[in-house]
Amino acid sequence: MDMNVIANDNVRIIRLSGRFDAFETPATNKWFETNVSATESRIVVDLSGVNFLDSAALASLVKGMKRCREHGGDLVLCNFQQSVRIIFELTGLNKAFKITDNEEAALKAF
Amino acid sequence: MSRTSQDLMELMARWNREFVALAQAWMQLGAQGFAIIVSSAPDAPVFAYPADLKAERWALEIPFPLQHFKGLRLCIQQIDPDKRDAVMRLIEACVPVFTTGIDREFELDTMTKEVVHYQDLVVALYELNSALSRPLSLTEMLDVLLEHVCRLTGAMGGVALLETSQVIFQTLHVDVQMEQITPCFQILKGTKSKLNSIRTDGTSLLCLPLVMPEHHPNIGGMIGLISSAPLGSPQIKLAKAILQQAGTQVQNILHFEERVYQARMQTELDLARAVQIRLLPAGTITLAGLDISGESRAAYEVGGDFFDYFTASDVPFMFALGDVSGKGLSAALVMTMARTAIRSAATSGTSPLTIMQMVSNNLYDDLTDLDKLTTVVIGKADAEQRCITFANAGHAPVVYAAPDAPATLLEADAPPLGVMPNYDGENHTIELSPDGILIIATDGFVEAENAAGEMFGYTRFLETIDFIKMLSAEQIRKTLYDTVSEFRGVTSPQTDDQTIIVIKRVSRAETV
Repeated sequence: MDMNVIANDNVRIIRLSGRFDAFETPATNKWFETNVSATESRIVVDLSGVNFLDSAALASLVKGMKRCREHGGDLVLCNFQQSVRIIFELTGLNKAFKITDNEEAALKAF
Repeated sequence: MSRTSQDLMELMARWNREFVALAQAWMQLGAQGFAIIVSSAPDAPVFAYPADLKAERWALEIPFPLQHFKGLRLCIQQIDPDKRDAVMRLIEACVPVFTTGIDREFELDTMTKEVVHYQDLVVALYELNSALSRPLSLTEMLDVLLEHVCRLTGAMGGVALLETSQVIFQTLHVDVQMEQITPCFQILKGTKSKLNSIRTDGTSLLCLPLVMPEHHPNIGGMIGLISSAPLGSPQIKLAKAILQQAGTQVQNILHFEERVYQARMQTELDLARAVQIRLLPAGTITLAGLDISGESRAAYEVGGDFFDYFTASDVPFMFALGDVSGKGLSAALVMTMARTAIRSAATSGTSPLTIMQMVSNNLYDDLTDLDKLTTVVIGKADAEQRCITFANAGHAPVVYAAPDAPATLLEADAPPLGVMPNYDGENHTIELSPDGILIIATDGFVEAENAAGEMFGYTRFLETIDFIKMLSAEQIRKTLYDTVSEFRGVTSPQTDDQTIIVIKRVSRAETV
């Protein structure tokens, strides 16, 4: 999986691509632990390049989301492929996250 | 007295009887005294006859040429002039005999000492080898190594430093702090070099690394040898050879300790697995109107999946199934916590939703602290065992299959526990048609992969259920395991826990 982080005003956009599973979550968990703070708590995760995520990946995104909310911000997800959308719907996680169709909408969701 | 002078005195003492005989012969020829002197110290003869002979003017003084001791002279006092020629002839005959004999004896003596020295080295090396062959701890091994390297090289003392998961520092006969040695260690780590320095007290410090056969950035060691004068090349060569062997020994000990640790961990995991298996209910049960079969297979020794039945005779059948995020021991510990919370809440006999809310409240803080989630399905049959009411916290797949309709996935209406502080799902009731089945499995089934990296997936899972839904609950359970296992293939091991409950409404009620 590739991970690219882009700073956009006071929002960080993380673009992920490839397979997001337990082998990749140590990196994303570490990123959330290191970078999310009171001043950096607004994050958009663009999953347009992710075709699969497992329960460890879901747990990692939840970790990031909870950490952002603890610091007064939020983690917004966008650009789901169909397979990813199904996983979020089956697990009820679409009710826990703010999810938008694209990055532009995600930036307006805070 | 220098060693050379001492050697000379010892040598002369051993030839004392011969010199006395020679002196007496000269005395018979009229001499008054006989001595062997060193020209640099003429007043202190190395041999004198008579013993209290005073050094005065010598009548005759000639060189007494020894190969290994320079400046010796043979002196004779007061010779009868008539016998001078006879004395000279005697001297000319005797001196070469004596000097050659003394030289050869000294060489033999030196060689004997060297043989004894090397014999001692061989014995010391043997002792070192024997000591290192015993099952030693790293600390004991360093002690033995330091003692023997000092002994073999003639160093007055030394230090040993070994860095693995811990740091061991040993000293022998010297007062040196670890901080003084650490800079040398950092320079030598991972090299085969040596480091010489002169200490403030004038002694020499030679630092040599332990040479490990397998390079590892976090493992290294060294020995520092302290001596009054810099050690010579043979001693350094010997110490290097010993340290190379010791490096191998250190790695052997580390491998041994690792194997012991792993064996102990394996025993603990086996015990944990036994405990976890004991926590699972009986695989297949048949109640009035319901045929139920469940199983959990962990990918590793212990897993994060769980399932449970509640089958008290006076209350309707209840069940729970869950999947803690992650795998292995950490997931297993959270799984035990979740199971206990569910069991405790289930005794209240209330609806699955109420139980789920209680469990969610109980677990949320702990799950947040541990960065864990857990999906849970809690279900309860009605009094007639026709309907199942369930609450679903983020779990998939949950499948309902009626005999006359394709199997369908039932979506969770709330995220897993640990995501939101409050559970906001609902109770859902499904009426089981005769021979209808409710299957709750964990993602270890649908996310199983074959060697080509292809997932079993939800579609295959539903198709398989449709194909086998006429079977008993136990047969359906076994067939699903077998089908997924066959898809994965023998070369792809199970990488995620797999847990399943199959509940089938039987047309003909049986009671057990």
